[in-house]
Amino acid sequence: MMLTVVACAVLTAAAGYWIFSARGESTTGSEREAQLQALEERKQAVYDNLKDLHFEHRAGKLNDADFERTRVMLEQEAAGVVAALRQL
Amino acid sequence: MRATTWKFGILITLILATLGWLAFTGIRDSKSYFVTVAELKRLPPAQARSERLRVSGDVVPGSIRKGATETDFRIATGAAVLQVAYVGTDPLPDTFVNNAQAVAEGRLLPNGSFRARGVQAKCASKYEPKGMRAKGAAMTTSAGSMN
Amino acid sequence: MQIFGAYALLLAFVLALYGLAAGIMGLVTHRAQLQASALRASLMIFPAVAGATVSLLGLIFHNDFSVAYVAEHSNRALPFYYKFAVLWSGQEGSLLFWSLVLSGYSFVALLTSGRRHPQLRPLVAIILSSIQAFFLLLNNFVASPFTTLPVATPADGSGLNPLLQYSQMDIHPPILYLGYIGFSIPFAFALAALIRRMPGDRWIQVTRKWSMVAWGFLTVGIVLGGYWAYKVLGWGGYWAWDPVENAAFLPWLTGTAFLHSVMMQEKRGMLKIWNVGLIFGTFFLTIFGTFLTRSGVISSVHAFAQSSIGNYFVVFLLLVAAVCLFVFFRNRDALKGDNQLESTLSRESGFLFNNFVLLVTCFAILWGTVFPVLSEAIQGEKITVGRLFFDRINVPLFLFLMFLTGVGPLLAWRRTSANALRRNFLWPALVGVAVSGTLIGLGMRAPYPLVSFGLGGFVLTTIAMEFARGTRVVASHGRSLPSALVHLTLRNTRRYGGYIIHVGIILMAIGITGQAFNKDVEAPMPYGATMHIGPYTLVSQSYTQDDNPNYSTEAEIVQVQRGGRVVATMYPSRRFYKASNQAQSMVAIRSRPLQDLYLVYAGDDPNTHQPILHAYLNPLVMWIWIGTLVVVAGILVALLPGRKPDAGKPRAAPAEAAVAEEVEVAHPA
Repeated sequence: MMLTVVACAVLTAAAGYWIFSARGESTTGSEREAQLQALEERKQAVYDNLKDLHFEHRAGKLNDADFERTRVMLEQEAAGVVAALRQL
Repeated sequence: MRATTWKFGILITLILATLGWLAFTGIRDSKSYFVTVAELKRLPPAQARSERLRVSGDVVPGSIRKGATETDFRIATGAAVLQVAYVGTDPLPDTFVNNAQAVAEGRLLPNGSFRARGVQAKCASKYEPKGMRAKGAAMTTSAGSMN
Repeated sequence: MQIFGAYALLLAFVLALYGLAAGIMGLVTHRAQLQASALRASLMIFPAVAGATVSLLGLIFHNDFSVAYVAEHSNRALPFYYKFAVLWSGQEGSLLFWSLVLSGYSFVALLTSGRRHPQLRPLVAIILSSIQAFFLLLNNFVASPFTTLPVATPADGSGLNPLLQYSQMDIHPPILYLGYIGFSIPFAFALAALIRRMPGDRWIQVTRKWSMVAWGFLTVGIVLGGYWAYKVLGWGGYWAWDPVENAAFLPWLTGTAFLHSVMMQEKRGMLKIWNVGLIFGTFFLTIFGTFLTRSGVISSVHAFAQSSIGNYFVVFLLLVAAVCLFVFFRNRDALKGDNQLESTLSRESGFLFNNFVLLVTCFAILWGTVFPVLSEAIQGEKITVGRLFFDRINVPLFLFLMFLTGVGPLLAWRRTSANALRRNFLWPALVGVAVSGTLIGLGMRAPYPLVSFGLGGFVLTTIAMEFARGTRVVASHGRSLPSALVHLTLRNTRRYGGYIIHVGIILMAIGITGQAFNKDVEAPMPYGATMHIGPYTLVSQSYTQDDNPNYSTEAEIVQVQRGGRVVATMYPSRRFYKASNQAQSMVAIRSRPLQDLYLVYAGDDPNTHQPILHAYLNPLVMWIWIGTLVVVAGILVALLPGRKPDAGKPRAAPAEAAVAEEVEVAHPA
C-alpha cells in the first residue's frame, strides 16, 4: 500500500514538474514566410515533375509530341511560380 | 474541358447504373428477415413461409440429434420453441452446444418446422458474455451458407 | 498494483484535459509558455497510460483474480505467451490498449514534428489530446479494467476464449489497432492544417507518411484476421463479409483512395478539398467501425452483448463530425486547387476513377453492413443481406480496380495521346489475353476468374515493363543492370515501392480468385476408410487422445496419398478447454502453391460413433499470404526517404535553364 502511494506521488510530481517547468518559445512565423515556403515547395514539385517527364520520355513511355506539349505546359507553370516568388 | 466532363459523366453514370442493378438484385436474392422464435410465432403463417428467415433463439438442452444427413435441434426464446432441421453441408460450429445462442437461416415448412441451410452459434460464457464483445465476430462461428 | 493502474489512468485523463484546455488557452491568448506546458502534458499521457497497462499486465501475470477483468479473461494454466492476449480479449482491456496505442502514436508524432511543423504542432497536440480524452473517459468511468470482482475471489479465472489461443491472436489485434488508430495522426495534421489555413503542401507530406504507416498496419491486420479465421474457425474460408471484418475494411478503402489522390495534390496541386474529405472520412470510419463492433447495434448475433458504451461513441462521432464540418465550411476557400483536369486520357483521370471505384465499394459495403439497422428503422423489420449481395457487387468493382492498377502507370500526367497509349498497352494486353486464352484452352469457363487471371497477367506485365524501362535508362549511365534496378527503386522509393505494393495486391487477388474453384467433401471415416478429393486420396489411419492442464485433445490420423504415393500424414483434431468449458476444432492444413488441403475433424457421429471428416480443397490460398508479404516489402521501400535523383539531373538542368529563360521573357527584371 505504502509503495503504491509513493509510486503514485512520484508519477504525479514528475509529471507536474515537467509540465510546469516548460518555457515557451515563440512558434508563430509570419504570413509572408509561410507563403514563401509554400511557393518554394510548389516550385520544387514542378521541377520534380519536369525531371520525371524527361525520365519517362527517355524510358520510351511518351512519344515526342506528348513530351513536348507537357514540357511546355510544365515550364510555363514553373515560370509562373518563379515569377510569383520574385514578386514576394 | 467540357468534353472531358461529359465523358466522365457518361462513364460514371454507366458504372453507377450497373452497380445499382447489381445491388438491387443482390439484395433481392439474399435478403432474409431477422426474427426471434417468439416473433416468428406471431407472424402470419403465409408471410412467415414466403420469405427467407434468420431465426435466433437458445438451443434447448438435450435437443440436439445428429443424424446421417441432417441435424435436428430445437431453439427457443421464452416459451416459444421451434423445431429446426439443419441440412447444410458445413460442419456445425464448435460453439453450437446446449444453451448456446444460435441463429438458423432457412425457410419455414408448412408443418411449422424449420429447414436451415446455415447455423451460427455463440456459447454463453460462465460469468456473462462480456468477454465475447471485444472480438465480436471472432466469437461467433458459423456453418453453412449463412449469408 | 490495481490502485496504481487506476490512478495512472486518472492522471492520464487529467493530463489530456489539461493539454486540451491549456493548449486552446495558449493559442487564443498567444502565451507561448502555456502552449509549451500543454504540449508537455500531451506528451506525458503516454507514460501514464503505459504505467496503467503495465500494472494490468502485472495483475494478469500474477493471476490476481480479485480483479474482475483478470478473473473473466484469464486462468492459471494459460501459457504466458497468451497472457498478453488477455489484455485485448475483453472490452475494458482492449479500450485500455486503444489508449496505449493512441498515446504512443501521439508521443512519436509530436516529438518528431517539432522542427518541420512548428506552427502545426500545438494544434495537433490539442486535437490528439481531445481524441485521447474521449478514450480515457471510457477507460476511467465507463469500462475500467481495474474494477474489483463483486463476489469472493475465485480460485481460478474463467479462462481466455479458446478461439483467441493462437499465435496469430497474439499479433493480429495489436497490428489491427496500430492500423485503425494510426489514422488519428494524419487526421490531426489535416485538421490542424485546415484550421491554420496552411498554404502549401508540407503538411500533406507528413499526413501522407503517417497514412502510409497506418495503412500498412491495417492491411496486415486485416489479412492476419483472415489468416486466423482460416486456420481457426474451420469453415474453410477466410472472409465472410461479417460486420466486424467490414468495419476494418471500410477505412482501408478510403485510406487507399487517399494514398492515391494525395499524389494529385503533391504533383499538381489538385483535389485539395477531396483529400481533406478523405482523411476526415477515414478517421471517422475507424471510430464508426469501433462503434459498430462494440455497441452491438449491428449483427444480431452480437446483439446480446449490448452495452451502454455505444452511446458514448455516438456522441463522440457527432462531435467529430460537427468539428470537421464546421472547420471545413469555414476554411474551405483555403483549399482552392492550383490546376484543373486537362484530358480524359491522363494519369489524373486514372486516379479519379480509382478514387471513384474505391469510394463506391466503400459505400456498397457500408450499405450492406448497416442494412439491418436501416431496414428496421424504415420498415420496422430487420432485414439482413448476405454474402451474395457483397460478392455480386464487389467482384466487378475489384476487377475494375485491377484494370486501373494496370492502366494507371501507362498513362502520362496531363495528357496521353491515343497512339502512345496503344504502344504502351500492346504487350501487357497481349499477355493478359494469352493468360485468359490458355486457361480457356485448359477448360476453364467461369467468366469472372478468367477476367481476373487475365487482368493479373496484364497488370504484372505493365509493372515489369515499368521496372525494365527505368532500369534501362539508369543502366545507360554506365551501371550494371542489377545495380541500376536498385538505384532506380531508391531514386523514387514512393513510385517503385508503390509498384511493389501493386504486385502484392495482384498476387492476393489471384489467390482470392482461387476461391471460385473450392471443393469440399464430408464423410464418416472409421479406421481404414478412404475419401477422394481432387488429386488426393485420404486414408483414415487411427485415432489418438492427449491431455494437458489447459485442454484435452482428440485427433484423427489421416494419411494423404497422391498418385498412389504417400505424401503426408495429417492430424485434424478437437480440443476441449477445461477453464472455459469449450470445445475447439483444430484444422490441419497442407499448404502448397497450387492448393491447400484443409481437414476438419467434425466430431463423432452420435449414432455410429464414427469420426466424421470434412475435407476442403482450396486452390491458390497461399498466394494471399505471399501477396501480403510483398505488400509489406513495398510499404517498407515506399517509406524509405527518396534519394535525390542523379540520373535525371543532366537532363533537368537544361529544364531549369529553360524555366529561368521563360521567366526572363515574361517578367523582365
